[in-house]
Amino acid sequence: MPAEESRTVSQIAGTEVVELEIPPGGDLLSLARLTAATLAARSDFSVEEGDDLRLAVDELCLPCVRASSDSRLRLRFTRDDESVAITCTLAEDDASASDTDPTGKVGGERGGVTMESAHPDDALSTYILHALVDEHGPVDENRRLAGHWLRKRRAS
Amino acid sequence: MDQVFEITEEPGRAGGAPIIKVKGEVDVATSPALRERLQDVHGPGIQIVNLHEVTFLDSTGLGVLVGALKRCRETGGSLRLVIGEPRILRIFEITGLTDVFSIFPSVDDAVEA
Repeated sequence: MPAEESRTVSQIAGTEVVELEIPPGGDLLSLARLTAATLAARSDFSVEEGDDLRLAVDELCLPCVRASSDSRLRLRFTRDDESVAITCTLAEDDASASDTDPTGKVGGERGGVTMESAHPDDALSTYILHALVDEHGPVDENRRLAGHWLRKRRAS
Repeated sequence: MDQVFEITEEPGRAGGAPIIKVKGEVDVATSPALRERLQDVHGPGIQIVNLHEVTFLDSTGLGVLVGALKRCRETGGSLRLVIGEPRILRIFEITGLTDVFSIFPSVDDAVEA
């Protein structure tokens, strides 16, 4: 699989998992937004809720994009009938890491890339996320910040 | 996929400054181009940025618009935004920036205000 993009889909007992890995720099964040919107529709989110999730996944990814200009973003979307959860972490920057972790563990056995420090603009992204989703927070690996996660539930 | 990102200019109305028209998705990939284009948006008078055909706007695009607004105000001018899509207005509402920007539903409204 080329380093450009890899995506896997699995379905386990009513839960769908989509893994997406996109190149550094955020040029293809639209793929993350498209995936979020598609899964929102599959969970019967309203159009407005789907739009909110589209914006939320973008803001979720921005701290990772700002933290590293040479690491790919690894996104894991988990959807069920009532909610969509998304995790975004930095992947290793060697091409061999483009294979997604079959265990689904965040960061994988190879270990993800940690984010050394927060960018000032991350606070605005966090503020926006807070307004758009039900839950969100940091992903820690070995007590270091490796990314962020969110969960949005369907309103009714 | 949504529209391709594009920035164009429309003639100003009644001798006003050209209207900057933005199309497509404004995100971390495209906001640098918008920032560059808006660098010379300042000075006295009314500047209008038409976002009517913008299909997505995130915090990076918002930051660019805030920077342009600040430059306009510092040089005695004003910046007016044209936004028709509720989903674009949403991020302005979330961040409280609907009270900071002058936002209009159409170019005619922005010109005549």
